[in-house]
Amino acid sequence: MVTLLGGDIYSALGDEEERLKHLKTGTYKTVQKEMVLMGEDLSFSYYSIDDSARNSALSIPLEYLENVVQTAIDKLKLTSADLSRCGLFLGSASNDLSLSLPLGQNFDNSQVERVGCERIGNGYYAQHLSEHFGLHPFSLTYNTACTSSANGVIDAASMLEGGIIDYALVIGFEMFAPISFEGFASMQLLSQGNIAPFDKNRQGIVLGEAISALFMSRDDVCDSPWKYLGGVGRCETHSVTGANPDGVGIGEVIQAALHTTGTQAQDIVAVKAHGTASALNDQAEINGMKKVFNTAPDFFSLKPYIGHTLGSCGCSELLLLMECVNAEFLPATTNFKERDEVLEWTPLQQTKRCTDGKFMLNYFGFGGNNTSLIVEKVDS
Amino acid sequence: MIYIHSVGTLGRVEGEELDVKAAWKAISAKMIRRTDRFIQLALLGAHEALKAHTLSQNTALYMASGQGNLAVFKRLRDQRYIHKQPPKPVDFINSLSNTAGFYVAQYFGITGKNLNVSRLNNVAETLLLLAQNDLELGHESEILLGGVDELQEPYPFTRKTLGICDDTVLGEGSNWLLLSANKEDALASLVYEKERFSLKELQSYLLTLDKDIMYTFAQKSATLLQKELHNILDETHIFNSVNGYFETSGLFTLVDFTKNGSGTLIYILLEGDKYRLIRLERLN
Repeated sequence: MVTLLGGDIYSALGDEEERLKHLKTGTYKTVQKEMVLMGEDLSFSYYSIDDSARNSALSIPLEYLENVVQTAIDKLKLTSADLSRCGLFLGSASNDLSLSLPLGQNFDNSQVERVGCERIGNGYYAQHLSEHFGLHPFSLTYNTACTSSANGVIDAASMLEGGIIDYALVIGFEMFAPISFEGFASMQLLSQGNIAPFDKNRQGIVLGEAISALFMSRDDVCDSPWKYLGGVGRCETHSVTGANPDGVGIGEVIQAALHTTGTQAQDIVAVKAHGTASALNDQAEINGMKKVFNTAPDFFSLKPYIGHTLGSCGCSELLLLMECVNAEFLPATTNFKERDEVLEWTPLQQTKRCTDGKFMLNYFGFGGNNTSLIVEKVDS
Repeated sequence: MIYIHSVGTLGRVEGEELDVKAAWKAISAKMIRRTDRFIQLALLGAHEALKAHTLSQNTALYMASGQGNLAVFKRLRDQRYIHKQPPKPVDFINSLSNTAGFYVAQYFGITGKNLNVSRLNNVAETLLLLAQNDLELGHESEILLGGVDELQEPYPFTRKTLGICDDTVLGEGSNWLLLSANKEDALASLVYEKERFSLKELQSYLLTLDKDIMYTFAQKSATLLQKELHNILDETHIFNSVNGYFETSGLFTLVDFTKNGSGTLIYILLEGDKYRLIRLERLN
């Protein structure tokens, strides 16, 4: 049995104590980011990692990554021997910042391409972390849009099950990227207000950044009350930008996850929805759940707390769910105010006591990627 | 052990021309719109592999690339920094490299797991290990595994970002294998050995193998490996299969041997300070 050991998250919510306070009280922090789009001055909310000392674009991601992984290692008391048996699965929707930043800065600085002879590009961060922490040499960097690190969790579990590694480190990595920010704006997917998943008056996505580190293992190596029961990834070819609003593709991946894990829909205590607050995604997600659940399960979105963290959300939102249940509650979907008659189902609007059980986590992304995970916390 | 049921390859070296758009337009004019050269390269390579095969709907697609769709990223960079324009939506969408996987899945009508991965070195080989594990565990029944890398200009800059020598000839490629755990009608068997060898262990192991076996090396570490193993391996048994340097070129070698080789091929790669082996055996 694959186990989820825990980890740590850098996000707009601060440290674990602050995170739980926000998640219990339905509060969050955003900053404003400005842009000029087609000659128009625009301002959008953004969930930024709280750090005023960010002045070195190239080095800071590495420092963040090292720190979040080190914090997780310390918390879990992992030894260097453990780490040498630990594979790395890094998920990010961004074209690797180690390449994109110098390419962009060439133009900002001098119009001269200045890149050293050192190999850079996709996979650079995973390689750096593997070497820095003395990990097992197996590493992959996933770019499957918003399902990137969720797919990393699935493959980490598979490699653990196959006995190729004994520990796995899954990283969710997304930091502010101007092209990505402006790309979402140019597609008119960003909310100019807040993010209110499943609300009748939702306006769209609010982006955020998060770096998370989740350690996994097997119960014969390192047991935990948190078990990974299974997960399924599917490709829905309806549209490159999103799931079919009729919910067929999402219903299929949810059903497949239940089938793979031998779980009945009624055994799911709560669903961590993808819940982006884009009109079509919310519709597709509710319609997908309706194909599997006879009545609405307890479901919630974590994006009003940390924003849509794209490739990081798979890992970051799994860790947030684990922290909430460890603190014996499920969070409300803050910002939700008014039921949407089209959707009919409404998310949790009050925190709810919860100590254990089976949980479904859903993620959907560009490129037709739909991923559903099922985890369980066993009552200790 | 897993089995290769079909292979396909497409590529070129620097200086050669490859009109990917025209080639793909001849196959599927309707899928030209919204796709770019990287995506078309992926589609064409997969098409080469699947000319005589129909995939089951649940087939998974595992795709590897060194840099992903870097050309579109450069277009986005130019739009932002030179032309002061917002990203064109189609370019923004295509900058997510898994968009190529989407179009391959859409064209072949498959809805299984769809991965896009990268790694600094040995990305395709590492993905093969994942695929072998998933097939052996029964998590997948059939995997279409491909590696796609597009040649980028200017070449000196590309060599720098790839960390390779100035005199290395660059290439590009789209190489695909259809894999399953089922031996029936397979072209070849493939085993990614789980053991990691020290140099001494590797040398000892290679001496125990059949004399008829062919050998080849991962491209980036080929020079080093040849030097370290020249006393062990018969040079006439080196399978040379090079089509310019690109990061998923290992798949080109495996595809090439599956199509044109005979007997058994041992593919040797360096992973950190350990050596790994992939054993490919042609089946009749």
